Parts: sequence; C-alpha cells; structure tokens
Amino acid sequence: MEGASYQRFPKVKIRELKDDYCKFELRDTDASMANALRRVMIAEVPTIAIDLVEIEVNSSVLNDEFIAHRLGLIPLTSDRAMSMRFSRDCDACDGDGQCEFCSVEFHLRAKCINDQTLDVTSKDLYSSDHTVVPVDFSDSSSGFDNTEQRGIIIVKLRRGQELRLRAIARKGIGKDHAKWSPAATVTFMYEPEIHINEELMETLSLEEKTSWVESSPTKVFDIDPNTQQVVVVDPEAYTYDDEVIKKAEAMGKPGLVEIYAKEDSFIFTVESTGAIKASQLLLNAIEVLKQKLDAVRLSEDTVEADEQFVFHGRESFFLHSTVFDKY
Amino acid sequence: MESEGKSPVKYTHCELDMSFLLGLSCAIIPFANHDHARRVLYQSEKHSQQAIGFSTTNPNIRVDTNTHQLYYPQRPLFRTMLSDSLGKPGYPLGHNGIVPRPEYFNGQCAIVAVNVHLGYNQEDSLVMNRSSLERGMFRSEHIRSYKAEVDNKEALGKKPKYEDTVNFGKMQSKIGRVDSLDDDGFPFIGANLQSGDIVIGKCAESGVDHSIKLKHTERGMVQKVVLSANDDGKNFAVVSLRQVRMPCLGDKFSSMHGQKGVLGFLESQENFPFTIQGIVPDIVINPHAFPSRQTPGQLLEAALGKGIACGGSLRYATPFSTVSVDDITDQLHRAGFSRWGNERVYNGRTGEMIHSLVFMGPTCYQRLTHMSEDKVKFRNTGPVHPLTRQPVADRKRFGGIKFGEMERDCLIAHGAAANLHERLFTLSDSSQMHICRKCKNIANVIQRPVPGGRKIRGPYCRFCESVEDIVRVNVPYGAKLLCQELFSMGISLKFETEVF
Ligand SMILES: [Zn+2]
Ligand SMILES: [Zn+2]
Repeated sequence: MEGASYQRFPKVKIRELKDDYCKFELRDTDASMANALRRVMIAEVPTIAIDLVEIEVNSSVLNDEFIAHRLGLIPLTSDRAMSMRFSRDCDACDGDGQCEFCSVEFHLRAKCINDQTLDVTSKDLYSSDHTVVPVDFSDSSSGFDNTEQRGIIIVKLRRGQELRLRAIARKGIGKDHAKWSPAATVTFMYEPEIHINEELMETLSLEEKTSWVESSPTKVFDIDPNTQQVVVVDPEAYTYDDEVIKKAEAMGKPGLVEIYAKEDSFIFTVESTGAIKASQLLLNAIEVLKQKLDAVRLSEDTVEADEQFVFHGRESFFLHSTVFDKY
Repeated sequence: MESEGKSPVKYTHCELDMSFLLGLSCAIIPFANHDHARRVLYQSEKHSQQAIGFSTTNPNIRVDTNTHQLYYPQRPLFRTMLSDSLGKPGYPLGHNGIVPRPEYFNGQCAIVAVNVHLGYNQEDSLVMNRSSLERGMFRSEHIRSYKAEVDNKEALGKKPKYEDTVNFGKMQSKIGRVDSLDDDGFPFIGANLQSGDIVIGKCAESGVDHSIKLKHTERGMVQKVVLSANDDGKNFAVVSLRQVRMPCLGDKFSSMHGQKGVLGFLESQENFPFTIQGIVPDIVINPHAFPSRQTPGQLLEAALGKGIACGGSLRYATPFSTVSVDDITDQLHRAGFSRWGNERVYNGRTGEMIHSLVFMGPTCYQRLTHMSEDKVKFRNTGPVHPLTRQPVADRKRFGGIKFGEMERDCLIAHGAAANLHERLFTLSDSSQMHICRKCKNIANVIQRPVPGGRKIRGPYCRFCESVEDIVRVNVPYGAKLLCQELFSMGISLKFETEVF
C-alpha cells in the first residue's frame, strides 16, 4: 500500500454564519467528499426527538397516533446528542430506553376551561432536562420580533377537551426516521467558471446583448451602462440551467459563452431545523464522517479484511433498509 | 339575416364561463382541455371518488362502516373558476380573514420529478421520498365500524324463551381472544385489537357464542363504542376501530390527470437528486407515462404550480380559459427558473452533476383507497371447498390465488411438467381411488361380509365380484367427482391403468 499520496488539504471559508443558517466554500477536494458531508448532515448527525408517547388523557379532535407523530417532529435542542447513548446500546437500562443516559422525559398537561380555543404548543412540553427543550424560534437572531408566537402548535382544544401525556425523547439519526434529521436544507453547487467570448460578443448589437443577458432566469450577466459590454456580475447565481448557452445557439452564435463547473470547489448552503446550530451541524458531520472512516480502517486491519468488510456492509444495509413504522 | 344585425341582441341566458359546461369533478381538473378525454374521465369518474381526503368535519360522531381521512389535506396551488364560484354566498369571514370555501380537492401538493429512478418506477410505478412520508405526507386514518344487535326485552314486551336470549357480555370464547374485552362485552377505548380478536362479545343464555370476530386481515385501535337502540326493538352496539397508515409499497396514487401509479420504492431523502436550492422530489414518476397517455395538462400544472409557489400572480388553471404556455414560461422565468420547468440536479448518491435537466414541479397528487394492506393474499395451507376439495378463492376466507388456464399454458410452454403437476395436483386436490384392472371400472371401498361371519372393509369390484387385481391410482379429486357424477347418471368411465 505504498505509492503516490493522494492526500489533499481541503479548505473551508465561511461566508455567512447564523444560528440556523450557514453558507461556506469548500475547496481543494472532490465531489465525493462534498457529497459525503452533505449526506451525513442530512442522515447521520444525531439529534434528540420524541420517540415514545404514553397518553393518559386525550379528548382532543386528533387521535393518539396523530399527536404522537406531531410530537416526534418537534425539534428539540440537541447539543447533548453527540455525547448521549443510543438507547438500543445503552448498558444502564439494558436497552429499554428509559434511563437518564439515553432518554429525556417530557410531560404535557393541557385542558381548555373557557370558550377561547386553547392552542397546545411545544412550549407546553415540560422537559426533565433543561438542556433538551423544544426549539424556541421566537427569540432567534433572525430578527423576528413576534411576541405572539408561542412555539410549534400541537393541537387545538375547545372547552372541556384535555390532553395529558408523558413522552420519552431519544437519540437517533435521520436515516432511521426523518424526525431525527437536523438538516432543513443541505445543498451545494459546483463553483462556476464563466468565460465570455469578448470578440464574438462585440458582434452583437446592444439589443441582442440585452435579450441574451435577459435569457438567464437568474441575474448572472449584466450590461455595463458606460461601455455597453456584457459583464459577469454574479457567477454563482448561475444554476447550470444552460439557458444562456441555448440562447446563444439560437442566436447563431455558439460559443458565445463557456461555462465550466470547477471540479474541486463547492459552495454549501446549510439550514438547520434548530436542533443544533448550523455551524455545529457541520462540525458534527465531520466528526461522524471520521468515525465512519475509522470503522472502515479498523475492519481493513483485520486478517480477513475483505470478508469482514463485506459482512459489515451487508449488515448495515439490512439495518437501514428495515421499514421503520414509528411515529 | 337582414340588416337587423345592428340593433342590440337581447340574450336571456348566458354561459358565465366555458368550463361551466363540465361537471364539478371535471371542471376542477387543471388544464383539463389539454388532456386526452379518456384521462379526464378517469380522473372525474374514478379517481375523484377514490381519493382519500377530508370528507367530513365531524368524523368523531359518525359511525360509517369504512372511512378514510387524510392527515394533512391540502388545497392545490392552482385555482379554477368552478372551485372559486361554488360556495355559500354570504358566508361570514373566517376568524383569520380567509374567505371559507368548500373543499373539492382531495390531495396534497407533492414535488414531482419526471425522471427514472434506478428502475423502480417502471410501468406506472412511482418512487416516493421516505423522509417526506415520515414527516406526514399522505398519511391517513382509517376507521372501520362493527355493528351487533340484541333484542330489547322491554321494547319487545313478550318474554322470549330463556334459552334464546342473546346478550352482550364477555365469555371465554373458542373462536377468538377476548383479552381486550370488558365484562360488558365491549373492548375498552384505545385497546389494540389484532386479527382474530373478538370485537363485540355476544352470547346466548344457553352458552352459544355469537361474538363478532375480526377477519384475518383486520386490526386496529378502538376509537369509540356506541350503544343505542332502534325502532325495531333492537339494542345495538357499534365498535369503531382506527388504523393509521403510512404509504407503503403497492399503495395507489394518482395525479389529477388520470395518471395512476403504485408505489414501487421508498427512497431516503439523501439519495434523491437535489437541485441547487436543495429541493428533492417527493415523487419520481417515469417519463414514459406521458407520450402515449397524452396528458400534457399535468406538465402544465407542474409548471404553473412552480410559478405560483414562487409567488407568481397567474393562478388559474380553469379548463378552456387557461393561461397560455408563454405566460406560464414567462412567470417561471421571472421567478428565476428555467422557462420549461427543467432544473439542473446533482446525483444524491455521488454528488456529481447529472448531464440532463430534470423536469420538476409541485403537482396535486391524490392517495387512492386501494391499498396493498387490504389486498395482500397469501396462504400455504388453508380451507378447501367441501365439494371439489380444491382451495377456496375468497381472500376473506383465507383463500388462495387461482392458477388458471393461462398460467397452465405458460408452464406447459416452459415444459415444466413437474412444476405443473405440483401446482395443479399435489398442492390442490390430490386424492386416490381404486380401479379394477379386469373390467376397468371404479372399485369402491365397501364393507362386505367374508366367510367366517366377519365383515371387512376394502376395495371391491361389484362387476367382477372380486377383490383381485384392484389397483390404487392417484387422481385429482375433481376427476373423481366427475366420474362419480357421471356414474350417477348411468355413464360409467373406464380407466386404462399402467404401472408407473
Ligand atoms: Zn438507557
Ligand atoms: Zn372388475
């Protein structure tokens, strides 16, 4: 296992960072790394979500399963998730998932006693652990000063209706159920490299230039008001929709513009559900990816490396292809 | 005809909109005039009936035998003239200022991509995003009610015979489990009943069991128990069972353009192609569904829907007065999308850019009532028909699936004689009978006296009056039945036998 080293030194440049939003550049690596990062952020970064609901009283219009499903989808602050145990391999409780190392208990009690409709929201959920609480969107830095907002609505109660339940939240990953996915949006694009053929462009009249510039649905090009030259104003606005290339061909000027996707440069956009901060989501994803690579390396070291690897691959395939019918 | 044409014509009637020539279920189809008539009829006659929606606002006080409700019904993005026109005039404004309108649509807005997906959407099947389904898309609640009656003693006046009085109540039943029943014979609210359990316990004073049992495919949680009486002097009870169903393989879905399909694969979100904005499809349908079916209306719906979702102002998809294709493409262009609805996507598995553009847009999809859970058919051994001794056919009676002539032809063509023998004989109505080799008639098993005063039981030929040279042959019971029936009409079949 000698020979040329293919080691690269990827660089990350953060462009914009908010609690629930992050935009960054990833350079000097290839699509496999970028995509692995994306996939891990969506499906394998752990969070905490309600997994078991015991309903004591439910006289609301929604049935028990409906409420349990809605509870499961409420994002909970999950900074603890990385250090928490999966309840399936928790030693403290033999996997019944009720102990403090692998679960968090919630209580909800709501009863409507007057004629005003009562909104039961995520703020009515009382957690046994102050680090794991429903995500609060009202005071986020996004600038929404909505004092009316009372969290995520679970159900509405009319006079006399009551909801009383106990819920257990557990650690999990998005692969098992989408409720554990911390990512609202994770996407990337290849950084475009746009070359305008200036010579050919000069053969166009101003009118033709305008119609060509406007053929792009996004504002990638513009015309300099002074020199009347077509300039690239925002290469990243290009969505690789080929509209300008088709337009150039339709105008009888193929090769008017050449657009390449840089193979080693990606622009990521990450939006979090609020369970963990967008920046933490990225860091956790890298950590999970490292753990996965370690697992591959370990199995490679064993004597029957190949067999082992095949076995592991198969096993995990079966594990994840199981149809989960949780709420 | 004459020069009267200049004077104003007086009309007594006026067609308010071209789409009003259509009925309700047809006039709400977006771009119906762009679709083939056959497909429009599919939607307006069949799929609109079968679509699961939110058919009532008081499901909790109803006891229908079988109802379905969608968890999260949505109004489509587009509007049509008819869906706007119908409604109660003078209906007060809702509390949040939205004009209440009756709901005619039974579906959800899914992001639909027209693409192939690993071959899992061939032949009208479709691939769905499992993450979307886990988030609640196309989830539905199914309520089934079971009814039982007993005589009302007070109302009836006369006293029936003690032995015959039937009452609700729990008793140890031989036909099914009664664990979830209370003493009154009804299950408690929230009880989880499985197939084979007793739903309503009912028994006669004599001890005869009249309980109602769940069929082998039925199960659910008890939603409510209703006790009442009717005018015929009967007391009756209704037990409603609820079941929540997430879409699963084999469930049927349809767009509003007669494009039905069954779910072929549930794929995880991260494996789908994604756009630059990070959008992944909820449904992937096969491009082959379009050319022969001639339903460009669905593509127009998706393109218009995409423009509306991006805040476009063109919203109407009324049949015969739809906006032009140019207007739709312009709206998309203004919203920052490719004119024809195509988008550049990246392969979700590898992260590479996919060479071709993929058409994507929000489309109203309906979940139809045909679900695989209600249709699964399987058995190894089970009940047989008493006359033919062949397996019964009905699914409700745990029957089998018919292996018919066409299937038989297929196996013959393959030369798979052993397989055919097994299917049609060993696993069906295999039986044996006796043949006398001398006269080639059937020899019946009878009890006959033998010298010495004893009686023995065995095959005996009544033609030859002997027990010699009688052989046992394997025949399908159907064949045996046939020759017995013929024999009863005076026709005797002769059997040529050979040692095999
Ligand atoms: Zn534990
Ligand atoms: Zn004979």
